[in-house]
Amino acid sequence: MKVVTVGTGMASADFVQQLRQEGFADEIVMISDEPYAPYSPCVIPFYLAGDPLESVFWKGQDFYQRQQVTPLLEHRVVEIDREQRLVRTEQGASESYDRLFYAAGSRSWCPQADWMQTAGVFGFKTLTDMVAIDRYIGQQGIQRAVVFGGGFIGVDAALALHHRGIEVTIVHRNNRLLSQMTDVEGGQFATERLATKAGLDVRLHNTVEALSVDAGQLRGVTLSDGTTLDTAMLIVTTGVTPNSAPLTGADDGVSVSSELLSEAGIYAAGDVALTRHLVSDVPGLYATYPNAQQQARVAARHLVHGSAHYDGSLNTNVLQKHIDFPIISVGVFEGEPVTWCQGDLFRRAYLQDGRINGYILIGDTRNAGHIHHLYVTREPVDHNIAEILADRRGVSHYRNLMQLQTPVTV
Amino acid sequence: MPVKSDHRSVDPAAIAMLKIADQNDIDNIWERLEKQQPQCGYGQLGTCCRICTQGPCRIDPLGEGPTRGVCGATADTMVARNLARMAAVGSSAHSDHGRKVALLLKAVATGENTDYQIVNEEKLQGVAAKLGISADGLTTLELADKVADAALDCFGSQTEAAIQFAAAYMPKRLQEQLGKAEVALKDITGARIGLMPRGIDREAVDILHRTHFGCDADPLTLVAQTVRCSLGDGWGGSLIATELQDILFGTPTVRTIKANLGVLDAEMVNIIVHGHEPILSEKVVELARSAKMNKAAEAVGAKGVNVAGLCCTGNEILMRQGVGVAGNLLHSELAIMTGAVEALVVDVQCIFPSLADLSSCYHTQFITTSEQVNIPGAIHMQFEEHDADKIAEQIVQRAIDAFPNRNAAKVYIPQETAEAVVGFSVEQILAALGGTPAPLVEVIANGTIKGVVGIVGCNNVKVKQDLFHQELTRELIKRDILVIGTGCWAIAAAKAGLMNLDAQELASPGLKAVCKSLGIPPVLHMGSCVDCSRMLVLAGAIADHLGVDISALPLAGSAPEWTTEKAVAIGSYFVGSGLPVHLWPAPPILGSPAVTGILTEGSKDLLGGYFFVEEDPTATAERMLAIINEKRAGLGI
Amino acid sequence: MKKIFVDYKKCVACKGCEIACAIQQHPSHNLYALVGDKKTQVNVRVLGVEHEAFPVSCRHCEPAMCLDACPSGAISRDPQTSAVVLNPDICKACAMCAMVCPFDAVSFKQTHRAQYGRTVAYKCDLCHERLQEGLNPACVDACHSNALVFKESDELSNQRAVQNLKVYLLGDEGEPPLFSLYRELRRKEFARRRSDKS
Repeated sequence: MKVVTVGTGMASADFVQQLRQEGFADEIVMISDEPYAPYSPCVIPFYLAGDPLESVFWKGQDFYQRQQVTPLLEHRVVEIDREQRLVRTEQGASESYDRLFYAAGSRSWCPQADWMQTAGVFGFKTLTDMVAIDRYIGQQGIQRAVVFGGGFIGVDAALALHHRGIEVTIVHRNNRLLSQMTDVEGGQFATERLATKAGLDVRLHNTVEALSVDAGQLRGVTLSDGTTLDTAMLIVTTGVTPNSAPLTGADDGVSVSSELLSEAGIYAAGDVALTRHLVSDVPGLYATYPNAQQQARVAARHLVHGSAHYDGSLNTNVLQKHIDFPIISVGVFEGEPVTWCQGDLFRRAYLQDGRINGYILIGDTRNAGHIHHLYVTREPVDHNIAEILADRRGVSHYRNLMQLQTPVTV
Repeated sequence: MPVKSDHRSVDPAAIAMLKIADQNDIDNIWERLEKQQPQCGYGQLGTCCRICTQGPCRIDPLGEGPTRGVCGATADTMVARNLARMAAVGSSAHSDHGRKVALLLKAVATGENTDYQIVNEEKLQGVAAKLGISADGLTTLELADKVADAALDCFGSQTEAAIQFAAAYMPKRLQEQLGKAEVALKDITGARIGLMPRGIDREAVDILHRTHFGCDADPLTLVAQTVRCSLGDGWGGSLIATELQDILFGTPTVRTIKANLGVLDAEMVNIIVHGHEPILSEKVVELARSAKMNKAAEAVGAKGVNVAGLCCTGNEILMRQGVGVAGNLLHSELAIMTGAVEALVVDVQCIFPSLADLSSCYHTQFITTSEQVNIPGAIHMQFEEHDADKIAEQIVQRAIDAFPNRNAAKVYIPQETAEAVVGFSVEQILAALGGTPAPLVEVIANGTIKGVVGIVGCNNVKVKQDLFHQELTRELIKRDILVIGTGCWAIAAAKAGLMNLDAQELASPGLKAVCKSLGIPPVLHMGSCVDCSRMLVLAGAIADHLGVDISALPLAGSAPEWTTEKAVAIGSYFVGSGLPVHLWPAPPILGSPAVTGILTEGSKDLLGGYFFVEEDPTATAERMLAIINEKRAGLGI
Repeated sequence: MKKIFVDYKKCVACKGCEIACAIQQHPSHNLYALVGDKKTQVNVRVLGVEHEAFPVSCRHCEPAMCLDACPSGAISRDPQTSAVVLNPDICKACAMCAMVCPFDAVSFKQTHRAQYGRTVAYKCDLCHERLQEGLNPACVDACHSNALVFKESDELSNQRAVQNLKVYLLGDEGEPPLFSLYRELRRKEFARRRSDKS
């Protein structure tokens, strides 16, 4: 039985590793439009910040060899021929499969496609992007940059450039950075401190409206509030689009069953997969590594053993990036908010029926795992959530075990 | 601000200030206690020995690890040595205070110092008479010189005889009882073990010697020396401090004062004096009341200069000068947080080093004055007794100069204060009784009052501030027990209104009637922590009047929120004088079955006094009532 | 596999384990070199919970949530000891592990092992190098009162462990009466301190 993976990302690498661990000994082909061994998208921004390139290859640069995989690199998959069980690439190759693992990931979405043709404008998604940005910074002696889009990837990009010693202006449409992974108060709290701690120039309620280009080379940008900024580098992080079209005909994700099958013989996982949420049951693109890994493992076990079940995805996010100021965001921010805030720490949980519906933890990771556990296990916490959030030493779990009462300070 | 409850203090003013501390994330002692958790159990059990560099050694209380230190010391030896050292330090602190007063009296007597005077000649004569010094043909200063010499001799005497003050003040029967105990100890150990103090300094040095590497390892003899050294404090150093301060500054008389942070005045230059000695603070009060300084204060826009006390310096000046007291130990940071304190002037003992950092967040001048107390971040203005007026004036001026820097936005003074009738020196109590203990003895004998309990000082951040002080006091006066005491307990009781005449209503009918007839509150403020000696003297007077041992009297002592090594010394000299003493929190002795046994049981037979530990105020009051009833039965009353 | 268990009633809160761990992890292996060294790494923490105190650290869970969450390949299982170990060379301190660790066992700072002058995650490595020399973890050897016990952990406990810390807490009975009194007095002290009664 021959297995082909579309993509060499985290889902595909974990899938292949799991297949081999489960004893799968047949042929495996992995296809990617990039020239690299599997790398970790979570890690690649650190390459920009100055870490060596080797460290992005989270499963080793010799992954293909070690796992006895035939890589088909720098080939972009454009068509899945179900009749003939063939994968066709833009570069003209076709690869037959018995089982297909479709994990083509996602790509940067740019509000104006032609911007990306301008020298100095980059997406921030792939190692190819990073290598190009790195080379460009070196060649142009970039001192300042504009990041358009202040979501997770935008802030990630801004901080990577900050660590590189570049002055960064970050332009964001919303009233706070990280608006998808925060509520208004938490997001504003985080934005204020991110700006101070990393010296970011944050422009909220703003978008990049136009580029100033000279002979194909970016010279500056104009914001919606009329401001013009001189810059030779613009990173566009306004969103991502799942690469699902070759499989489904549209770039809006791939629906999968609880076995991760999109149809017989074809598994889909990672950033393209539309899965159900573990807690809310709402289907969506839950593009995080832990989800991709679980999906890959379930798919591999299902492929080898004929049965396996995916429980669902979580939407967990954490942003730390060496600024000693972690921002954790999990679940949905609906229900009754319970907040604790002191100095640089902000912690809020949203309760529904006495259980955690979502939470934001900013400033440290103390107790984060305990709260995560309470969230996932759906334990009623309405009686002690205030104590748990106010716990700076990490004792609430143990206090609970010892059945101690909440200390009272009115 | 409405009063709400708080697990850190029962004092409404403290609760209000803690709210401000919480809101502004101001570092404070309660926070620091939390950050220190968990605290090392070896230390709490007393089984950590750092005496030599072969250590440190620890004996684990479960018998899982080694049962001896490197040198072979057992848990019993370690605990006893550590306890003895605590008592040596505590006695030294009190006694060194006494030494300074004696030296000042000597300087005044010889005319070297003219900034101070003999204020109370009657007391001088009384002390001289007690010591057997004839006043015949002597001027006041000549008599003062002899009394000062006698006092100073107590510190440095090198003979085997008991120090003069102890020999003169201690009831003869107690001296005999201690003599018997010495014989009993010799029978048990074969060693010559004294209990009467030979020299105040010597007994402390004896402990430092005996606890040196490779000396005394016997918990019994170590405890005996602990008691001896402590008796040198109670009937020596502390007593000298009290008596000679009365000569120099006046014996306290009954007066009404105000207590709690509300004594600070938002419109005045506020100076808080904090620590233990009245020598400097008396001068600060004097200068602050002068027309010159008040004029200087008006010049910077204040209505005048207001002095308030904290801790035992506060007690000294409230007893003698009627100065309001801002609070006890745990109020010291809170007072600065009011934002209305221009200067915090400190002498010795119980000064948190944290006050320097905290003061720097405000305009408060944190001024250290003793060469023995230097705190990084503080302003040091060295106090010299011979130049007292000038230095006190400089200090007051410094406070006045700081007034314009006060940030009105940071000022919050909780208005809660209580009135307290204070000033109950032994002389005043006897005066209230008509010059003799007889009426008190009579009401005790007829059961109108069942007994007397003396409670002593400290706050301890491990105990909700003032909770134990207040509740124990309330529970005792409900049980026909007159409560007397000193130190931070006294301030707690004053703040809670328990020293107000209205508090008579809280007392049981018998006690209430006695208090009403004498016009006193049921809870008597006897002074600062060195003034625990006043309680000894009072107990001695009653015992002598009845011709019985102190240990036979229906009396007990308590240190319910104790913190310091001085409290170890106080507790030990109470026990050595025959009194049962309650402690909370537990002292660091539980790692040693032998020491625990000696202090809670063995000492009963040997000395008449003993320690007990109890964490609940009502249960403590019950236990004390039981002890008092047992003693009453013993006396046949 | 063998794991570290905590007999919490025997913990005297001396923090000897913390010091032993710091010395073991420090490149100098010397107490005096730790003083004032901000890069010192301590992988065990004696936690005071009211009157009780006990050391907390990584439980080397099976499966380990931190290991599964790590997107940089920095966390792995040591094949010999089954310890969950973290390779600081490739750790990016992204905090994915800390976000899910139910025992708060992962911390971040610039340790002596951090490359590139940045923070990394650090956690207990079960002294797996000592184990291979036939030694116990440093904290276990340092514990005077036998509150830390290194012993075989069965499969069942491993499964329950992720759900409930109690699995790691032994509670052997039998202690000297004065120690019981001490514990009881501490319990009362803390109960009173916390109480709202006035």
